[in-house]
Amino acid sequence: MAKKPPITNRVRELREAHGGVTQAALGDAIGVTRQTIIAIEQDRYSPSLESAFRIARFFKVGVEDVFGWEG
Amino acid sequence: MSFREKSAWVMAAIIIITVGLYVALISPIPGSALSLPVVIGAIIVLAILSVFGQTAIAILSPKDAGAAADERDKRVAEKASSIAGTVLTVGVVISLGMYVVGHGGHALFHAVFASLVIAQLAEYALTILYYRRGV
Repeated sequence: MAKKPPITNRVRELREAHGGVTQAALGDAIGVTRQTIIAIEQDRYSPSLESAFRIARFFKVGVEDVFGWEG
Repeated sequence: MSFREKSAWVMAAIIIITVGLYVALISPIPGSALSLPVVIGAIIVLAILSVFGQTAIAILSPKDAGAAADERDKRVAEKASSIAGTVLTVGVVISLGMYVVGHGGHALFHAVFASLVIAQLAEYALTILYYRRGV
């Protein structure tokens, strides 16, 4: 069984804070599927560095405002 | 559920059905000898069911079907196919070992065929697992 990644994120919170951006819209904007956004939000997938930056830029915040290290 | 996970479920089911039919037809043959018509028939059934299965899930989720694989899809596919490749290698080595110790050519064929099937099922099972549990 895959271990839960130690990277936490605030993607869902940021989506809601930005007028309820949908998972599909965010996925389209950064070039991944809606299912991948769901997996990121549920801590089942840690995105690549490139996607992490794309998500942060989408919300106009720094990467560390979106992602954190649990440990 | 992602399109690729649905595809893995469908293809795993189709392989199980096709191999079940293949085994049911081969078993009554004395010595389970290789039968070319059965092998060709199994390949045709597999191809037809695959086309129908993939078309059905594409109709149910047309947007997902047309989407390119993203980074998570690629990572899942790489990990699943890497392990499946190891399974296939082990199976083929065992099959060759069986041939070396005196099992005939028919047994070699069936053992390699079984290795292919097991490796492919392992790939689909791992694909489903990685999509569900994380990769």
